[in-house]
Amino acid sequence: MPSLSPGTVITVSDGSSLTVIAYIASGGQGEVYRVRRNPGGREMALKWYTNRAIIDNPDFLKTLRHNCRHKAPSDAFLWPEAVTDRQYGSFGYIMRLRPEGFVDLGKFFCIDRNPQAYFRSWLAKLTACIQICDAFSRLHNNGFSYQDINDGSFLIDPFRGHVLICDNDNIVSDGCSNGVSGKPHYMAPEVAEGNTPDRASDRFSLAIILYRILMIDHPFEGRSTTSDENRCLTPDREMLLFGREAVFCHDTADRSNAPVEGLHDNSILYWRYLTSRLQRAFRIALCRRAIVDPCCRIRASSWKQMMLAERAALVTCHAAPDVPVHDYLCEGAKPDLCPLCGSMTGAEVWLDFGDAMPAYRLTASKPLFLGESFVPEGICRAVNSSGVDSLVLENVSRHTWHIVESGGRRFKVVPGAYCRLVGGASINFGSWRAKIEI
Amino acid sequence: MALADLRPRPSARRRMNMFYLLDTSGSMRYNDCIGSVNRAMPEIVGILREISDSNHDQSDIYLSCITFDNEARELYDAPVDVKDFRWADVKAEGLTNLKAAFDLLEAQLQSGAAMSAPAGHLRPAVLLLSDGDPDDGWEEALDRLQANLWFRQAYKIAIAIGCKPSNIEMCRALTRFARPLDAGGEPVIISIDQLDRLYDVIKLVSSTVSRIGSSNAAAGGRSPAQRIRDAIVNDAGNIVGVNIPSMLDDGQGWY
Ligand SMILES: [Zn+2]
Repeated sequence: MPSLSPGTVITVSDGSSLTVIAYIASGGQGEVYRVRRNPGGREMALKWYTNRAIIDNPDFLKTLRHNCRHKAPSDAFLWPEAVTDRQYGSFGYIMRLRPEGFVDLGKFFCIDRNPQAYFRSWLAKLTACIQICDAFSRLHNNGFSYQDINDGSFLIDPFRGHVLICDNDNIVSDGCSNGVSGKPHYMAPEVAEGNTPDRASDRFSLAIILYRILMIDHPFEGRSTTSDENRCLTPDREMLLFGREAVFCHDTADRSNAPVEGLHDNSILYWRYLTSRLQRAFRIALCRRAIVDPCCRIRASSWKQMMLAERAALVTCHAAPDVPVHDYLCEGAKPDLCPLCGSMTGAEVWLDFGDAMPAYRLTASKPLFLGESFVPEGICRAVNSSGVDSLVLENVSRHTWHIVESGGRRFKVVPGAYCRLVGGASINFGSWRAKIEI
Repeated sequence: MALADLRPRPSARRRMNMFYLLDTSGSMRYNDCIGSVNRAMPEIVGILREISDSNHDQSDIYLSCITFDNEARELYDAPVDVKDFRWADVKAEGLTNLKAAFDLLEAQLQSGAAMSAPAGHLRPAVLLLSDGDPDDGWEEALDRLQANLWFRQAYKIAIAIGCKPSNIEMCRALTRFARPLDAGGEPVIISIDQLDRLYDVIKLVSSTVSRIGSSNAAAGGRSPAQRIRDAIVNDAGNIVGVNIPSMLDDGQGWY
């Protein structure tokens, strides 16, 4: 039974008030309602605590108020915007409503129950990884730690990979504690053993989340966790096998927990589609040393740079007109045949940005993203003029590009227009300049 | 050449088996206790489905029901996925052959069908609901059951309906049954004096045990076994006419 009924008026500590419109959902900590803010009428979400341990904890409310005064580190966070007064035996906070089209990350792991919850492209997966890394690197730089990163913390758009981060009421200044520990399978060993979560324990959980976005299966699930010896996974065994004694299923030094065919097929299949630099990164991030030593874990900002490099090198294949556009990760030279559809791969062009950002590969149908943006600046298209295939770049931005060809000819590409990608030419996008290399 | 289908497989999920041992002896007709069971069980199945679904990749909940009166019967011969489970109403008549129920449970716990999910299992849960003194023979059957490794690991919860000081044998049976053994923590025994509370209590206990047990969720340094007891003592203990006796030894502590 929801504890607040529609029409209930809740007062907010800034003097405004809310009217409850409808009950949305409940979880371990409390309930979520759709509410209207008075005055203004803006519809928002209210998280309302029902968990006694939280309601009775004065520090929790204090932390919540403190976080509210800070601004959200990035747009990805469904950040607490205002805290209510204590009333009706509890309290809560308001945040943005969760928009349509976003799916709980946990649902991506059980496609049998959620047939639409799967990433439509590698670009969507990379986008999700980049947005998550960006959010946590900003959060950590602001002196906070999230404490409890798990599959319930993220809402993701399976088509574009855009991410929203929920449950930001657990966030505390790094080094502090609010009694929240974490979820088995995501919790760092030192936290499972009673240490206060911090940025280093966030990094442990982050590596698992990134692996699961790309690979779906859990990095510590393999032969040994599903062996007869662990037929009954008791809480104590679980804490060890997914914590202090965890073995990465692709660990090169210890093959005891390798993925099992029929049980961990995603870990087997998708691993082959990773670039070797990503494989290397996961082997470092999830090796025994990084599991037990909090200092050896990869930072969110480093992950972000790696994921941005993957996005720049990604190949889009639009080889056959009757096959939908698809993409794959690719490091360095492009293969002769597309690993997904088997067609001959088309032309490619590289944009060299110097030190400003990684060189960007353009192939037919691939969007061009500049820097860390998720809004495409251009879209590469294959054209066939008098029997010769070539690539052009369409300007889908709102400003004009300036191009200088190697011969010195200068021209402009206005929004909506496109230009041929000629080797040696340089493009000035405004804040970014690149040289075209064929 | 066709485009490779890169949709993932579902991540392998463990299984949490829940066993209900339900007394259907003639006395369960009193105050329509059997009616409470028949009304609560379909709702419990619905609640368990929701919990199982919301667990994502953690675990699937499987359910088995054994009823006992003159003899014991199983609704299914092995636990079935809650999404496929259909409750069939039960009638109350006959004696209280708890021994037969323990024997059937032991058989299910030993069978390959129940206990060999490819990705493994979480601890099972066994809920025993009874309203009277069991017939002879239960003690030896329970001895055999307590030697079973799955039973030793299981979360065990006993619900006593209308237990009076004269029900010495019932107190002994439920107390012995509820011993945590390898699951650790304190025993969970619930005594219902006001019989119209039965419906609420079995729903509450079912959702608590399944929610905590199926995700192995530990919180605030409390083990799942402790949390199950905390939650039940907290919530069921607040219901008028329901007691959580603190058990020390066989049958001691009820009155
Ligand atoms: Zn292709």
